[in-house]
Amino acid sequence: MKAAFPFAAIVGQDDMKLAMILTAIDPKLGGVLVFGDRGTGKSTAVRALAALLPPITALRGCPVNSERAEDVPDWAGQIDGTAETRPTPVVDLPLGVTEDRVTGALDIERALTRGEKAFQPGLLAQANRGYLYIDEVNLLEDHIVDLLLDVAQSGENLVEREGLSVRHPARFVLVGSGNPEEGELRPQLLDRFGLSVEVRSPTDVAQRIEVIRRRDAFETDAEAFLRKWRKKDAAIRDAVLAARGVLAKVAVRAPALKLCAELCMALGSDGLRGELTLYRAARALAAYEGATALKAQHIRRVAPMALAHRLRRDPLDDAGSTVRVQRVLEEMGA
Amino acid sequence: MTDGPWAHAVTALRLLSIDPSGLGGLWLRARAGPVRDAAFGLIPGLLGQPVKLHPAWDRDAFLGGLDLARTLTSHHECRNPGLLARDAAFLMPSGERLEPEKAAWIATALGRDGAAGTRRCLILGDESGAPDEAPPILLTEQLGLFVDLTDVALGDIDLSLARAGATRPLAEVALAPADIDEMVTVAARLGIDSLRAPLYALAAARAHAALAGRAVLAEDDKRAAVELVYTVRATQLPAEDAPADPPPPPEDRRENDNPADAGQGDLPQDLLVQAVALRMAELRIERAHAARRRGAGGDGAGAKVAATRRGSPKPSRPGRLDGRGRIDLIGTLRRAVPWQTLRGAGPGGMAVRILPSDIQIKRYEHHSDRVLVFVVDASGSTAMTRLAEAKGAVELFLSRAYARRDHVALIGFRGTGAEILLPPTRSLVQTKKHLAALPGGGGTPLAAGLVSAGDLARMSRRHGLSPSILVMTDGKANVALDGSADRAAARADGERAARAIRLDGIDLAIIDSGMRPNPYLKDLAGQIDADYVPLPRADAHGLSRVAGALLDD
Repeated sequence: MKAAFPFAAIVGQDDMKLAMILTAIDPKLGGVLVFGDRGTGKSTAVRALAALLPPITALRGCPVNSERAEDVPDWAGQIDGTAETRPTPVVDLPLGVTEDRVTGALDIERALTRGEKAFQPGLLAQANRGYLYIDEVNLLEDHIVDLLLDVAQSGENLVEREGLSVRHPARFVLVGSGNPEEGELRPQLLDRFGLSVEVRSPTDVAQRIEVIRRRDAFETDAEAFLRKWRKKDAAIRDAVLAARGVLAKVAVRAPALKLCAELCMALGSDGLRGELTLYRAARALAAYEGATALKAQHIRRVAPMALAHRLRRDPLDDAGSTVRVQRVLEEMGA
Repeated sequence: MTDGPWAHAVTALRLLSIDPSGLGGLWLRARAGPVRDAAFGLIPGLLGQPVKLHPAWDRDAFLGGLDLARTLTSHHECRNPGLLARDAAFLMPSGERLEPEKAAWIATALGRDGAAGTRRCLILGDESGAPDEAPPILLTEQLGLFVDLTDVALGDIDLSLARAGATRPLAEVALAPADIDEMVTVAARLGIDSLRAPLYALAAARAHAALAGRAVLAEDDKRAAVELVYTVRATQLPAEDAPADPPPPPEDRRENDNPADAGQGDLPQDLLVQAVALRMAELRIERAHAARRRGAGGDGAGAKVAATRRGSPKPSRPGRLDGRGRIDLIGTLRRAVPWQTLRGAGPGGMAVRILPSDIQIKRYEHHSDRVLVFVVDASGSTAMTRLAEAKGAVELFLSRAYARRDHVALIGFRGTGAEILLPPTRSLVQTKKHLAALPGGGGTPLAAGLVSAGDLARMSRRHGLSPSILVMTDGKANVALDGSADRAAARADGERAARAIRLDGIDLAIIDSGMRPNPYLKDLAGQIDADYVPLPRADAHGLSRVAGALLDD
């Protein structure tokens, strides 16, 4: 497998990059949905995200990346048990994947050779404590979407089939990308994404030329290109790590929280999840920028990506949701 | 003959043979016939024996799955890797029949990043004539080259053009920064948004140079590249480059999207843009892009989603052999296999012992998607408000429909005929694009509208959708099917058309939008057992409600 295109080398697309960084700082944000034109580097950015994520500590041999021995599911049997660091898992959920592959199923080989009932973990087990990436998420088959929704809700994968009764933790961050022209996303699934960004092709020719130049340089000599960008990627990752460290220390005062609430009320976004996400995203941004307190400017910056996909859709309003969020921001003079 | 579509097809295949993964593939529009077969016949010589794919094959064939026979004999789990895992050129002869889901599998397999350096590429045959029927754009987007063989005669075929191999290794062909600038600028001037296009054009130009034995790109290479890559993707032609017969000016080209000023007086670029314009004229694909031009970036895919999604497989369930259900062989064996050691050897040394309780029956969930055809009276003075409300209703309806898998179509009738304003779609984005401008005014050919709606409904049904029709009119039908302004004939035709719809078992509701209920409409509805709803101030919300009620019956 070829190395991924460096994150820092992605030209423009600031919103998309910021959303990725924020979700890397605070995984509780609940993932990113990237929707937009074809050929804008959506998948490239998601694949580059892996490089930004700090490694996790997990017990060697644990199929669900557990950190503590008591979290290792009993069906995993005896495992080595020494702690090791491994990269944060970023698991690809391909379209056309079978349910077996997602949830895990009976281990056929062991059943055949030893006549044992054993569980073979699936993608959900692999993605525990990590990220689950779905490209063309709006084309995902319905029964897989249902399954993901269940698991995302409970944080636990429950398998009851073929005489197996198995459960294991499956807490993951969803990252999806797609093109709205292929169809809409189901609202329940939409709601599972913390942030959503719309990407467009750059309209500036100079920027487009730069995109192609970098891409060409990468394809001609990937190693040299990666070397060139390694430092910048590392700088972003260090900033992400630093931001994680100070995340809890960012002071959040009443006016900032009030602004979040007012904004959500003015937009009529459903439920409280919007407020929570807005607040978390703004806090992550403040931490990333090294601010000691959450300010209105942070909220303003992340409001479109935290709220745009939560608005009750008004099909008669031609303006995109992002525009509506901005309009309300302006009206409030925030 | 060294130029023309056939030569282009040969060039395209030769370029693919040099840089298959860099170019992604070839979208070959051609009717089934000897010309297409001749083109496909060149593939083995240039790209190696291709792996054939068929749109009807199922998941396991494309993506692989458990190989039961080998698993059982070897006592190890053996997986069949699926055709898409092969490192070879793929050939899909009738791509227009491909469903978006399968197209996405193939697109993923062709590899956004991972396929570099492999021999993977796709030759996608496309027998569709109309752009609405084109293969899913999410796949064609990933195929660098496009050739149209529709107008090629058998006599034009010259097999001697095809020779494999480059005269210079691809790696030796260098790109100058100016080449990159030029290709990107030309793409921008042609209104091509996707950034994949310039990458493909550059790859094509390099391969073309390698073919000719050059180490740097010549004008010839760039021209061949833009012709093969940009022709089908162009959404606009800069006015100053318009060919003799200028296409209509693009409707909403964004200012900064059109850096014509930057390229003014830059001769090579102008030549490249002209080359593409000429090819578009030759292939008569301006029309194909009328739809795209409206909304820079895509057609077809939304309508393709409208194609069936019938029978998504559900997990198998234990069941009995009653001759109706299909046995899920793998599921059954899976249930049986763990118990084999316990059950012991079967009678007569049978390898697997299966008990009735192991039998698993396949289940499919058949969500027949519904399609609601709005038929709107676009005649007379109130046409504009009525159309606007209908448009609003369609969009409102769609915004609720996505969760329920409903499709919407819109037909307008006015003057002497009816017109499909929005083909069945589920995509709100597509709808907004199509409905941006609606025509109105003229007589009231109710019958023509009903006939058109009936045809559309029957066609949708053949595609596995269940149709319903909603007519909105004030009922003052005054134009007969033959276009004559004969009120009596118009009414009779209308009745016949409505009856034909009901005879086919298609639900029909008539919304009377006149200020006073029209007895003719009420009678008509009564006679054919259709719903009749007087809605004098038919607004978007009211309409959408009626539509919802019609479907929920």
